[in-house]
Amino acid sequence: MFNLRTFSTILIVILFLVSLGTATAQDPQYGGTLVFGAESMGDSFDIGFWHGFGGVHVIDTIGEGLVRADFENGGAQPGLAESWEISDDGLVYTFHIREGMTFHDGEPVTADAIVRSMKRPINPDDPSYIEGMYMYGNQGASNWESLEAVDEHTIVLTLMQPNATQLLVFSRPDGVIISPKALDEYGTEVGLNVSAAGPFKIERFVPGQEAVLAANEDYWAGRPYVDRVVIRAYPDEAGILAALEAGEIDMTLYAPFTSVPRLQNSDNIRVEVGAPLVNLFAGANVAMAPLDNLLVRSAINYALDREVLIEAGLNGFAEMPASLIGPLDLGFDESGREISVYDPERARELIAESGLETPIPLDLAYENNRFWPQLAELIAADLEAVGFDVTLDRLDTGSFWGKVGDGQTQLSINQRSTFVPDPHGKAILMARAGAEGSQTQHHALQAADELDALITAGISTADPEERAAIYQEFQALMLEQLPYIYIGYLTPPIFVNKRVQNVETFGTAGGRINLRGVWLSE
Amino acid sequence: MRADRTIGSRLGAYWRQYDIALVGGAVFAFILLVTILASAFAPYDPMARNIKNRFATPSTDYRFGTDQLGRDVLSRVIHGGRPILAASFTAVLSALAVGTIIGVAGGYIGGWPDTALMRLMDVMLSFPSILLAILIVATLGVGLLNVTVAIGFAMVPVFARLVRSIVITLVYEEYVLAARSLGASDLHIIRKHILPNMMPPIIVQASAMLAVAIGVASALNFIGLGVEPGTPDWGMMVAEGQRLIFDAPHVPLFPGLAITITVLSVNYLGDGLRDHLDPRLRRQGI
Amino acid sequence: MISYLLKRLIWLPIVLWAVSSLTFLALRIVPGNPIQTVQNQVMDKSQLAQVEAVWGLNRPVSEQYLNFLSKLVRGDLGLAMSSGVPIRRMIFERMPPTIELAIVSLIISTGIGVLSGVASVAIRNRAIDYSVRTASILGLSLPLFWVGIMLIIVFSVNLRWTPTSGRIGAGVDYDVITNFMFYDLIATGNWAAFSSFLRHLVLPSVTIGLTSAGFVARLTRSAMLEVMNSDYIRTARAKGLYERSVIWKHAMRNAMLPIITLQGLQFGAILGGAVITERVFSYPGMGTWLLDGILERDYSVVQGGIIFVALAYVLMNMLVDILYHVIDPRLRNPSN
Repeated sequence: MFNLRTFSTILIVILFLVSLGTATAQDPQYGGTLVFGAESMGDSFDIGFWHGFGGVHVIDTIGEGLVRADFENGGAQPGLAESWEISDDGLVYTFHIREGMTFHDGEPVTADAIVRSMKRPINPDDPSYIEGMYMYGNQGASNWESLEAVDEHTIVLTLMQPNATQLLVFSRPDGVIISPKALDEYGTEVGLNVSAAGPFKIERFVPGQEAVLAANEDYWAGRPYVDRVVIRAYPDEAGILAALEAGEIDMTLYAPFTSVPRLQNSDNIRVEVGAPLVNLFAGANVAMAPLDNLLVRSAINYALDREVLIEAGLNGFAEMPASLIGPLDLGFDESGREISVYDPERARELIAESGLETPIPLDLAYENNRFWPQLAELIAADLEAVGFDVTLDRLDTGSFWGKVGDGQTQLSINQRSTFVPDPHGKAILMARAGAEGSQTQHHALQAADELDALITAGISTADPEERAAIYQEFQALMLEQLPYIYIGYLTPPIFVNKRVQNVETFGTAGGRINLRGVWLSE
Repeated sequence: MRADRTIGSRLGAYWRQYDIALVGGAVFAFILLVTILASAFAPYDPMARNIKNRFATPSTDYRFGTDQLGRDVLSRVIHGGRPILAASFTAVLSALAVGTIIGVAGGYIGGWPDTALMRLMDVMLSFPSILLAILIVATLGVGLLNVTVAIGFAMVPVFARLVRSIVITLVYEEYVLAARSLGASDLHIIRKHILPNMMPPIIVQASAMLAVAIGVASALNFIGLGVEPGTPDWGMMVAEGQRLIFDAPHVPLFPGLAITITVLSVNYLGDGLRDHLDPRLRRQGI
Repeated sequence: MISYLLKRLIWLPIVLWAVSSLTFLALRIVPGNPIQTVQNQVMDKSQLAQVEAVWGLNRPVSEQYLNFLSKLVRGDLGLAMSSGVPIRRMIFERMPPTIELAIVSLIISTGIGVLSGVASVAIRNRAIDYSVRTASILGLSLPLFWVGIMLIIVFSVNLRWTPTSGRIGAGVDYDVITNFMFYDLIATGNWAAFSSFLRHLVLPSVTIGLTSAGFVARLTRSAMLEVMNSDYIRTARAKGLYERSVIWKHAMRNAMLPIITLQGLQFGAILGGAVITERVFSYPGMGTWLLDGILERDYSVVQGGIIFVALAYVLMNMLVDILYHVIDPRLRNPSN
């Protein structure tokens, strides 16, 4: 009956299957479709405009600039340029373009094509030129002396002033290089037909709904693992959760934080924690009483029980704050952690010292979405406990920024996530230019000019160590003057289906997903 | 004995005809009572937070559980009727008043003023009411009064058109023509003959619009443009709780039930009133 | 009849002018402008002043208004300020999905509403009458975002019968011709996509359909009650006509007028106002587009979108008027 041969055959088959199984658990696999749930999907992918984070995700997945950003270690990595040199005075950048690359539409990626794409915002004769492409403002073109293709694979960029962030801003979504053929063919509607040179290419786009992206077989760093990526809009938080649980989406950043404890125990979903790239803070309008008074700002700083804010307002998904600049940024100053602390006694003393009559009336403005309302309620409670009378001012996105821009808010909470791993993106909030339209109205700040000088020094200094020292000085001054009061560094949950492997948690945490290395098991 | 029977049987007949309306009235009276005397009924302070006790499920201490900030849901439900009911009732009644004036004016006067008024109503109606409400609240800011204005404004054309459509049938009724030929003043005719005859359909429409008003108020909260945050308010609680439906369903469930029961009771009361006022329907017995 | 329609047509441009002017004005009154909404995304603030000038936002409102009107008259709706996409293109993308949603929802609400309204009158049973009335009031009062997510939980997450959201399955291939999928997918014989499309349409249209069926049921019920008691029904009954034919032929004819009026209004309301349903079901229609436009203060999106909603609304009302005359010959003499 019992046949040894059959038995051994079965055994061998089982062993084979097991080895196959372990192999799949370790080695990346090709194939499959990954559905990413975004909070929105724009109407176009024209990189000259902002299309919400859904649009950023698509552009980041299909696009490639001269360089890529390394969110884990800071600095730039090769992109379309395989190498580059920067002159000692920091004014001349020479980029060496990788050979043999093509855009998604088959056009070769040449130095000429890249220069053409980069000059789109400053060349009104370009058929794809649209007046008002504001996002290109981030590329720093107003500081370009000249940009030329010196041969088929070399580009030389000459700046008027040194700009330490110039290299990294090329990794931004607005730094993506677009095929000259697409620019000619589609003109001003190129945003509906983007052809770039990134790891995926657009197969189909349904505005407001989804973008279907297919693996680019000719991508310079090799074809990505998954065959297709679908980035699809789910504007409702409960809706995105339902889609996640129904197995319709594989990955998202936009499910409610409150669901994490339950999802962590579910059979098919895993929650990863993103890096602390996003800074949450309260901006104080220093041009208006009572926040023109440093004692009052300082009292607010000590009044916030950040442990409770993070636990109850953010479900624990944040690190304790230090200053405006984040823990992964160049020049981060750890000592700030001792200033951004909870000390209600001290807060009351400071208020007494200010001589203002308590309760001090104070408006707290915030956007009416995500975790802001809950955070605002908790902050208001903390402030009322030390002698403020807080009026909550819940505003829709347009009204919030309108009110901020008109300098009519007092305390307002929001966040800053820079699109590149560099402290300048956060420091720029304090630049003298544009202060009148900013949250803090810091033109009225005593140290306004000093801060502005530090920002300028920070951007025009090339040496990383010197820069780090400048940003430390900047942070110290910020903590002394407190135009911003820090709430925490968000470490957002990243929701993934268990079949999704090798998720990048650094850029993703700041809203810049990178699906080049992601693969699907099973 | 005989008299008692008559009264008893009359009451019995009355009950049979209006049973559900009476139940509706009683329930609504109870809700109003609880809403007005909220502090006397609520076991806890509706604003009191207890961060350590967030998302507690219903228990003997917290009958309806606690919410995302550890506040007692039962106490918030008890307190939460006042803002949304005040806003919805005020909105519907003001819209009814304005709509009636426009509708009677248009229908009674006729001619070009009527056409102009109705085209104006068309303009208002062709602007989606929820977007109109959003624009109004975005302009005036969040808060109860502004929500009331937004909802009421959007409802004016609905009432105006309804009233006008009734008025234009009434002006040709024999008794109106007769009154007119006897030299009765327009105001007299409107007050004595037109307004009373409009009441039954208007009561029904108004009670239905109250449901709509509560729905719009909740929707505004859902978009983030409702009452001041933290205020206990059914609409706000349902809207903020929607995303908790998987993880803490008790948070949105109880305020949702409160809305439903209130709207049902008001509508049954309205139907009963209509039947009572309209003799033709009384005979029908349904 | 024709002269009456012509009269209505003359009003069309006036109504559209009024709607667009009100929209224009409202947007200028609401705090915040498109520049301020994007300012946080742009590091070089000097760039923003330039953009402001390009869109004429630095000009006096009266000048902006005249400019807007003169472009409008020429049929130029301009570019969306936030995305740079031509508005006409966006209308093509966003209007058909919402029209399809509106039509299917109206069919559902009319079907359910009329049947239950008739049942509550015709079947002389208090229990049925009360349950219909209760259900219809429930339909009116339950918030859409609540009904929607409940349907998703039951039918998509637990039973897995329908997809949770969207207009068609993720990554499904199809050709766009008119962007009306009922036409495009049938014309191209793409049955796989068509079935995906239908499955996606079920929950959002049922959500709207169920909630507005309440109105229809109430209206049917009261219209039927009125007619059932009127002289001509009594005469019809006295003549010995069967109950069924009395209900369907006579009573329904009377009930149809208010139902058609209501559904005409509903159609207009869904077109721009299905904001909540579209959001919960991630349905790429006019409602979410206009809502985002309002929240981002994208003036051209809101101005352009509202004009189309108003246009559709006015045309729908004219259609309703025509139907009136077809159904009720008494109205052919247009005294009112």
